[in-house]
Amino acid sequence: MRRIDGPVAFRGGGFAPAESFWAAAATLIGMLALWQLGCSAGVIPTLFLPAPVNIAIELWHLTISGELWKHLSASLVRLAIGWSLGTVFGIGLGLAVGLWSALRSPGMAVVSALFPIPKIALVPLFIIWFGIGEGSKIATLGFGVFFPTVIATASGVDNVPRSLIRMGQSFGLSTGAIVRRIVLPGALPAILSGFRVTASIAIVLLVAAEMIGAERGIGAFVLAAGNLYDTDALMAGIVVLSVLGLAVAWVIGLLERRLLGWR
Amino acid sequence: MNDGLRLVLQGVCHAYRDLIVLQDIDLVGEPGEVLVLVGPSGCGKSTLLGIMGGLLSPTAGSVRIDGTIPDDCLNPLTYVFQDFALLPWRTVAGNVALVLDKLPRAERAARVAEVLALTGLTEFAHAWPRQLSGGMRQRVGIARALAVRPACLLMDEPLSALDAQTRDLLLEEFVALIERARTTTVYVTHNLAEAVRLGQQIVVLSRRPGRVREVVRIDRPLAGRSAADRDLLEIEAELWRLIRDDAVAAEREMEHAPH
Repeated sequence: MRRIDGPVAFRGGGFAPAESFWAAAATLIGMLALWQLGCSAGVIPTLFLPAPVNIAIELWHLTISGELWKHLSASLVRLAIGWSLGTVFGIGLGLAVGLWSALRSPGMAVVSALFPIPKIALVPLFIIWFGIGEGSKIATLGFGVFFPTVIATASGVDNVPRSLIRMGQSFGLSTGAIVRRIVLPGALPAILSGFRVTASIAIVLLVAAEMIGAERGIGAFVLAAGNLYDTDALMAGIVVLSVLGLAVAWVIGLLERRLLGWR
Repeated sequence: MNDGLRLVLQGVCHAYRDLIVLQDIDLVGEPGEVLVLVGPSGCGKSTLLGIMGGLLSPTAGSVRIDGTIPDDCLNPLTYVFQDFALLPWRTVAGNVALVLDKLPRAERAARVAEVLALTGLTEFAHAWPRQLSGGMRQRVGIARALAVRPACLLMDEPLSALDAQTRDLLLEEFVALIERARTTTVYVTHNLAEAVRLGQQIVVLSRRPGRVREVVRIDRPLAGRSAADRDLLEIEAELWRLIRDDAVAAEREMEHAPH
């Protein structure tokens, strides 16, 4: 037996991490400041890692000369077409796999067999199939985006509560109406999460595809800068890719806030 | 002219593979009558309701409906679900409008407004389901069911997910709605007080495989009934006497079921 006497200690906090824009911004600014300081003090050799200020100046020159837009616009067009094609077909097959028994096992067998293949390894094959031009680059992107989209959509459909589908059936809604009004909106959170993954995959594949036989595009620009040991330009290209990734994530976040406001 | 809908079940059986859930169920729900299904857990009450609503197919037997339905009835057999089955991405009004697809836009809006007013939800028309209490969510479920002007309401334990106070309040609203609409109603519950408050024909099912064990009739209008009425309390006790042994056996069966 032991006696206890005293106030009840609070033990219910934690496990609820909060987000802070300012903490994120301060971290990035702090890292940039340290980087700049290291370069200015000669601790970091600028041939290997140029200073942030030099990268910013290079970016400015590239912008006003129109060189940046020439490459960026080519990349954006490829990204938009490749990602859209992969997404549209991926959502289509994902829905079919999620809804119909006849397509479920065959569809998932194909996806499971082809998804693990590194898509970059397929670039030479796509060049043989679609030529060295835009076709092979868009096919690489589309192929890379397609499989994760199928998986995200199918699992999203699987997670739609069957009670909601039964409700639709009990009220005599048509199959089309059930898919449009219940299944698709119910699977949307998973599909949008999939977008975050596929957007990143698309940017990686874009750069890889542009490094093989492209004259324009951020990937081609970074490769050319690297071949010339122009590390200022190389890093400027990498910064553009990073900003592109951030912009895509921001757009997807905007979509999530707009379409999933009900959560 | 609406004479109501008669629901006739003949020799209905249902099995999940080798597990026989329902056996030889013969029932008739008369037009405008409230038929309550009670029985021990796992006796197949909800399965039987699913068969009546066409959501499950009987392994044997048939379910027939006959009667005349109003011209504006969009869904003769209409479900009210235990878990409300509301779409979380649609507002209250949107959830009701979902089932009125076949109507022109203006008529749809009018009917949504009408049923929201009837269920006291007008000021919550633009609220999301997550912003509502359990009782309010079930009201939305009821509003959605009423919107299609059903000829037969199939209610699957509609109050079981709610707290006791909300349950009592909603039960009284059900009584008023059923009295007004005069729809044939099949009401599944494990709550015997609800059964005697609402039921005109109370069907007691035996434990699995569910069979009709007893049919108890209460020939009193719903409006005049009260939970404290002596005769209703006696019927409730009688129902419990009928169910008790089966309920205990069903409970033991579940305890000993392989996990």
